[in-house]
Parts: sequence; structure tokens; C-alpha cells
Amino acid sequence: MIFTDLEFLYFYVGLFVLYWAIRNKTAQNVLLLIGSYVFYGWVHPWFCLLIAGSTVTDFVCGLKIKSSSHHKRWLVISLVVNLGLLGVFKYFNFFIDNVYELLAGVGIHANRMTLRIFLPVGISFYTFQTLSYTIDIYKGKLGPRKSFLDFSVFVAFFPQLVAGPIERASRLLPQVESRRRFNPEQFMEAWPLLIFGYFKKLVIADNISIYVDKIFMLESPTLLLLIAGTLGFALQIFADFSAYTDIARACSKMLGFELMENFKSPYLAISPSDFWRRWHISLSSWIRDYLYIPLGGSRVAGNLKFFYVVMTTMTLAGLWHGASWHFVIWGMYHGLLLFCYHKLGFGGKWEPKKLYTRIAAWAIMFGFTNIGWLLFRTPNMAWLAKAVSNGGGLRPDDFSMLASIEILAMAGFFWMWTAVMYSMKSGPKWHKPLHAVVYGILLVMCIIFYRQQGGDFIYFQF
Amino acid sequence: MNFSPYGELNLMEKNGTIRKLAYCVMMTSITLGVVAIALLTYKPEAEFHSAAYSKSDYLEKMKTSLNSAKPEVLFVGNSMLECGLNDRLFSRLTGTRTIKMFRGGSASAVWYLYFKNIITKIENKPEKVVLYFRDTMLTKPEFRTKEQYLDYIKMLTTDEEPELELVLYNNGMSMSDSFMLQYFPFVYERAKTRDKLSNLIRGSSIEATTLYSAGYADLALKKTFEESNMDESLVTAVQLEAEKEIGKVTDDFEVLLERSFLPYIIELVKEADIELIMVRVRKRVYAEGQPEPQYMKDYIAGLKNYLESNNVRLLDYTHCKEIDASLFENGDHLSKQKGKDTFTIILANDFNKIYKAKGK
Repeated sequence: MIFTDLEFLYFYVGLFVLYWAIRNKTAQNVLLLIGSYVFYGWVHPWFCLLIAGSTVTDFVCGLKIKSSSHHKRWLVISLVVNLGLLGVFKYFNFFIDNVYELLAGVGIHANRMTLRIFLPVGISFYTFQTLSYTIDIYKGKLGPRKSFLDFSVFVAFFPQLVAGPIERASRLLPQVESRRRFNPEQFMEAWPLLIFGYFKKLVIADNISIYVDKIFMLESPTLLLLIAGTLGFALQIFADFSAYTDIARACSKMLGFELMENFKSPYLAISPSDFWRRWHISLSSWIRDYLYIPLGGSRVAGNLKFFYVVMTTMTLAGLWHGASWHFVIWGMYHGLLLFCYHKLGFGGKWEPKKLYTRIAAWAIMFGFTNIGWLLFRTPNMAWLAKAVSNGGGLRPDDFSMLASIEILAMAGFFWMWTAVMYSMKSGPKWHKPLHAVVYGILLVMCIIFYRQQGGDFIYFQF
Repeated sequence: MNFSPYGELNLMEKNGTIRKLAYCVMMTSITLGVVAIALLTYKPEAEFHSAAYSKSDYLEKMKTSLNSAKPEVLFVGNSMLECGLNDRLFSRLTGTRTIKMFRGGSASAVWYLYFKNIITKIENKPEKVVLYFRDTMLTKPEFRTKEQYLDYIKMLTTDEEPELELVLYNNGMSMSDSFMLQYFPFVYERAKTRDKLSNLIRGSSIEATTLYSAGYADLALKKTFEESNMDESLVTAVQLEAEKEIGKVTDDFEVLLERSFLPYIIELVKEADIELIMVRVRKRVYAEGQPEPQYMKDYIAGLKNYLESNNVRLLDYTHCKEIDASLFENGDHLSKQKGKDTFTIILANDFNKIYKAKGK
């Protein structure tokens, strides 16, 4: 089930009414657990077996890490099971294909053994979430939970199950364990998030994607079309992914839960470090805490070691997004950016003092971010190499030039709407009735632009 | 504890209950007001309630044109037919007057209406009608009937369409769709409003930034993204993904049959004394070596039995090895030259074998 299905509306309204009618915490958690499994297994019920397996493993491992004398052994079991699930379902075919190509390159033609595996949605999200639980127990930051029910709800909590935010046990588990009361203020706070979320997905992301997808299917796009496609994709991926987070947060709020913020105006970043503090915050902070710091990233002094740590971290972050070389290269590209900025003295929490320096830093970083998106969105590297080499398409009589301008103008229009929404978010200057009018317009636009055969959220595939 | 996500975006101030309530009421009223205005200004044109159709002369034109062509063999289908039959070549090879009637993206609802309102209503009816299909298309009545497909379906309807209403409205739709369509038909008019808004956004964006008109800019988009400019392998991957829906077998053939247009189509051709021939075209995945799944084999066996019991011939080219992967252009479409002609020759030979042997 996805947030844009009509079925989700019925499912959520039913669950919401029952949930607040029950009031008993344990019964509410049972309902949430059943609801979460229904939500997750709606199309493919066998997905539930995977998440149940992961839940049982990490629950047992959590208890054993604390009580057994072989702490490390139980942590390793948790790591092997979770990363094993990811390895089999997400990376197996990628690995086999590359080994096959490598062998073929040296003249050995092995039998290709490719599994017909259907990638379960959200597997990268919930495996990271459960991993954080066992690692935190091992590090002594968190105590193991004794209630299997509470732990199962933490793993399968449906609003954030398939595309995050990747919540930490220390933040979400206490909310699952505590008694929840209906809070009208929290309920009302959810509505702007809900309306913004659906507007960003249904009106912005699903509409600009029509043209972006076409550009990235052209046999030989001109440079200007490539620029239009990249800027359009920058808008699409932000609108799409942040929409999911907004809707997830709104649905959680209505049930008395608070999920973390995942985006903080990422395109206003002035450096790569700043960008990763603003973009997909739950993933970047996970990678920082469980990969970058353990590898020694926070204390290395030597250039070579630092380069190794940053590149390893970001390459794996790229690979997390998908089993494909262009994601790996995208991760490496960001690793390289982080390293270069750091060495030039613009790393960490660098803040330019003068306005024009800030504007220049923003413009440069925005450019770099978009080059990154080009690597991210390209169907494959061969296509990109061909497209980039075909840079002479700026002929004034060319239809493609006008098409590019039209797509850019449309993207500009949607960017303007995004800016209006974000100015409402941060500016107390707007009069409240005006807010109401804008919400009304956004809601009506959502109803008009809702498509039954609309696209999935981009981050589902990761 | 303040859980506000956006700081100042909080709808509720911490003090002033009256203000809070007033604000909630105002916001709700505005939203409901806008929806109410939309409802009041909307003139319902219920989708499948036949009395509300606005008639065009499209049907008459189609009938006139087909009648004057006097086809002996009429092919019906969608883009698979467009790319899968050279009608002139077929005509020459079989010595029959052959016409193809296709609509890209069409499916069983459109084909049923072709039969009901055009083919069986003309004076010079064809002797044979050949219907191209893939997978479960014949028993997926709701497939391609919503959004952009709806307008064309309406163009093919008459004042009386009880079967269409029954199959699509009662059987083919999910409960939620049926409910929405029955009580809020205006919701299904959103496609038009959306198109208007999209055109407005595109048009005003381009006119504000360049000296070109919106129409010329749209032409530029059309030219830029025309089929010949697209990467075949990428288009194929997207098309195959989109076509997965018709590859799904959700129930037994008998159950699917009951909810479909197929029995009505067969009834219509029987009454009009037209011979119906079904052609199951080969899909790319099979040409690339993928085996046919067991559930699909079972489904086709059920279909074959049903067609045989109704004297309808099924020509199944799913396993036709002469159509190899190199003959496909994008998705399941055969290449417009080599693929099309190759399949036309195969089909014409089979026709000649069957009918010339019978002396028909």
C-alpha cells in the first residue's frame, strides 16, 4: 500500500478511529502492529516474512548482547542477518553480473546464475533501523527491550517503514512504550504537513517527472535538454522524497508519534557537509554515527586516511541507494567533494561571513549538487557519456532548445510554488487567513492532480 | 512539549482558544467552499450513464468509412496491430480486401464498442474479424478505461450501453472506484481540468519567458520527444514495466470471463454472422528466451477451450520461433518494417493454409 492509494485513505481512517477508540496502550500497539503488517504486505504478503524474520533476530540478539558473555558474537549475528538480507535481495544479481562480466573480459565464459529476485520495498530502511538498535545496545547506549510487541512496532511502524525517516531506537522506542493521549494541537499540526506532502508529490513531482523521464530516455539529448532534465530531476526528487517524509510525519503525529525531520532546505546548502546536514538527514546521520565515526573519520589527521574514510563512507552511501554503478559513482563523487572542500578549509560547519561569499558558495554548491543528480538519474553510465559528449545541440532553430526552455520554465513555476510553501513555513509575516487560502488552493490542486495510476515514490526502490 | 515541525507554521497559537477555533472554522470553510463552488458549477456528465453522453458524429463517420471500404477481413487491435500487420501485404498474399482498425492504447472496452456500435452495425459487414491481443487483455475489462482513455470510450458509445455499464461500472471496478463514480462523478472529470491547468502552466511559462506561442512550444516538445528520438532499450524497459498489469492472472479463467466483455463480443459476432479469429501475438520476453509461466499457460488453456466451444479460432504466436528478438523495436512492438512484414507473411500463410484448404 502506498500513501497515494485510495485504499490507504480507507485503511488510515479506519485505523485512526479504532486506535483512539481503544485508548489502552498495549491494545493500540497490537493494532499498530497488525496495521503495519497489512500496510506492508498489501501487495506482496510474503514481504511480511522478511520483516518478521528481521524483527525476531534483532530482538533476540538485543537481549543476548546484554545478557550473554559473547556480546560480539550476537552483534555479528545481527549484522550478518540484516546485511545478508540486503545482500541477497538487493545486491546479489549486481554482484553476479559484475563477476560474470569480469570473467568474460578475461575470456572465461561462466554460466550466468541470476536469481529472479523481487526487491522488497523499504528493506534498506528497516534493516538500517534495526541495526542501529543492536549496535547501540552493544555500545551500551541503549538497554535491550523485553517487550517483543513494542519492539515489533518499532521495526514495522507503517508511516516510516518503506521510505523513512530511519528512526533511532533511542528516539522511537520510548514513544512506542509510553502511553499516548489524543492531542488536538498535535492533530492540527499534522494537516499542513499532510497538504504540503500530497501537493509536492501529486502536483509537483508527478508532473515534472513526465518530462524528466522523457529526457532521460532520449537517444541523444542536447546539452540544454540535459541541463533541463537535471534541474527538473533535482526538483522532482526533492518534492517526491520530502513529500513522503511529510506525509509519514503527519500520519505519525495524528497517532501521537513524532518522527524526525529529514530535510532542511537542502538546496540552500553552501558546502557538501552542509548539504548532508540538510538532505536525507536520517540516513546521513546514520552513516556518520555507524560508519564514518567508527572508521575513524572524526579524528584522522592524515590526508590519505581521511580520503580513505570519506570515500569508503560515501561509496557505501551511494551503494545503499541501489545496486548500480551510477549510484556508486554518485557516492564517490560526493566523497570527493567532501574531501576537496575539507582540504580547502570549507569543510565541517564553515560559514562565510559576507553575503556575496555566501551567495557564491551557494551557487557553486548548487551546481555541484546538480552534477551529482545527473550521475544519480542517468539510466546508465554509457548513456551519460554519450549524452555529455553530444554537447553541440544549442542551435537556435532547434526544436529541442525551445523544448528545454519550456521544461525549464515549468520547473521554475513549480520551484516558485515550493518557495511559497517554504516561506509559509518560516515566515510569521504571512497573515493567517492567507495561509488558509493557500492551503485551500493546495488541497483542491491535490484533488485535481491525483492520478490513480500515478508514479511510486522514488525512494521506494531503495 | 512543543512538537511543531515548522516553528511558526503551527496552526494553533499557544493562547487564544477563540482564535484557534475561528481559524480552524475559517480554514475548513474555505476549503469546503472551494469544493462546493466546484460542485455547484459542475454539470454532471456521468461517465457510464448512457443518457448523459454528448454525442459526436465520430461513430457515424467510422461506420460510413468502413462501410464504403467493404472489407472482407477486418483486423482490430491497438498499437500491437499497428506494428504487427502490413494490411496491404496481407491483402496481396491472401487475395482478400483487408482493413485494419486500431487505436494505440486501446483495450477490451474499446474493442467491445467497436464490435457493438460499428462492425456489426454496417451494411457491408466483414466476413472475418481478427482481434490482436496479449496476455489477459480480453478478460481485463477495466484495463485502460480511466483517465486519458475515458474520452475515447465515450466517443464510441450510444444512448444505450447497459453491458458497458454492467461490466465496467459494476463488475470491473474496485469498490472504491465504483463508489466514487456513482456518487462523485465529477471526480472523474479531473483529467480534463488537470489537462487544462497543465496546459495553462506550460503555456504561460513559455509565453512569459520567450517570444514563442504556447502552441509552437508544444510542437517543439512533440518533435523533441517523438519516437524516433528515443532510446529503444530504455523505452522498452519502461513499456515492459507498464505492461506487467496485463501479465497478471488474478483469478481462474472462468471467474475472469464472467466479468469481461468477451462473452458479449462473441454474442455480437454470432448474431451478425461474422467469423471471429483471435490472434495472440508474441511478446518480447518470450522471444528473448523467458519461459511462459505456468499460470499463463493455464489461463490460455481455459481461453482456448472457451473460444473453441464458441467456434472462435485462436491463433497463438507466443511460441513462434520465426519472430526472434531482433524483430522487436520497442517494448512488445515489432519493428515497423522487418518485424511487421515478417509477421504479416507468417499470418497470411496460416490464413491461406486454413481457409484456402477449406475453399473459403
